[in-house]
Amino acid sequence: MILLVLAAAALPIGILLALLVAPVEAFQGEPYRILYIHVPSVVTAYLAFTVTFVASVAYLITRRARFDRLAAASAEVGQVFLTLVLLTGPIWGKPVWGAWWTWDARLTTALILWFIFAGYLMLRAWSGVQGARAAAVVAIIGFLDVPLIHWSAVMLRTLHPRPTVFRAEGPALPASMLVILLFNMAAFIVTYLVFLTVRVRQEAMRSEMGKAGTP
Amino acid sequence: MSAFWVILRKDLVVEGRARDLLPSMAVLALLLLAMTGATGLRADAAPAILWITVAVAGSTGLVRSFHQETDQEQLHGLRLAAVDPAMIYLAKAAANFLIVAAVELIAWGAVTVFFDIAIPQRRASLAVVFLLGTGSLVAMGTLLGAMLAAARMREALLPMLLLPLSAPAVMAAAGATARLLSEAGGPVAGELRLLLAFTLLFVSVALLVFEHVIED
Repeated sequence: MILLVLAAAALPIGILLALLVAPVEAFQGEPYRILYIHVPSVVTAYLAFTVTFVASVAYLITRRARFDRLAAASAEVGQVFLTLVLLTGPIWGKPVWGAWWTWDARLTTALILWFIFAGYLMLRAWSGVQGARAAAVVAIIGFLDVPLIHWSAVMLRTLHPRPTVFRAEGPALPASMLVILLFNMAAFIVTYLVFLTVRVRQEAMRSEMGKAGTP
Repeated sequence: MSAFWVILRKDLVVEGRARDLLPSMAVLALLLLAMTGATGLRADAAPAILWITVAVAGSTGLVRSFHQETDQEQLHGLRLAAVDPAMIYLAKAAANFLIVAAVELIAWGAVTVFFDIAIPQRRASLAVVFLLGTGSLVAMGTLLGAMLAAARMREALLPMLLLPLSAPAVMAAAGATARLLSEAGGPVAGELRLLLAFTLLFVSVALLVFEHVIED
């Protein structure tokens, strides 16, 4: 409940700070403000999948259903944030890089990760309780795959030179931007925790109901 | 070690008699290559098309390789015979490797013809890419096939999981193949390292979790 209040307050404040308080970026102008949604979403998504990975390992070792529910709930919420990343990225990319999409290592990794967890969620949806072990293995493999995907994408890119508009990161953010970015990250992570708690609780209730024999 | 050979031999004999996997995978691969060729893609796209074709065709076969162990509870038999689960995985993977490699040889032939590719000069490196690329796909596909053997909708699920999970291997194999076939050339050591790392990592994971995957 405290988390819910925190998230409900912090999210709109974060958006207002990003839109009204944060200074305009010198090169990119106004479109850069999507950074305050994009980057916190990335951080939250990767955090969520890390939780899924750890919970999946714990489930395979201990076989306790609560770890399985945590893994499933965290993957669901992580996928929502990763979808947000993949939607906000092109909206930001078009005005700034001049292209909706580029096969940069980070973009490729995020997209393939999205497909892996789409498969994971379908596996869970279609195979129910019996699929818990298979889902745990997929989560573990998928998580271990991330550095390899990144590696292969970096290697392929050396064949095709990067678009010239798409340069390496500039200097570190000035403090006025960094503070707002960090605020938004915290707000997104709290929101993730709210969703996570709700989904874990729902799944726990569902399994209680299953045990009690109610439909 | 003998259990390994027994299972491997059994799988190959079953495939030799029933011919469940190889013909349908090979025809699907040929069809995909013919379609991409017919729609006008040029030779420089051939390595990527080849490896995606092998991954797609492979995924349709690998899902069935374990199904034949579950439709009459044969896996229980293997487990009751006290066969080490690691041996079951390695033997099934070896059998799948031979079948997918055969499909891939056919696909290479078709790609050479359809996309008019010159006979490659760097054959030894190409052979290593072939072996490691196939090994990566099969290491992952055999584990997924075993996990999904009893799952509902497995035919839809396996490609959806195998393709993104093996994406780094497909990307590295396609990149290395492209460079080995091109005039300009260039080193492929990075790609080979990635393929080797991919195969070793996921064979190790498979050996660690296989027991959990096939028990009831």
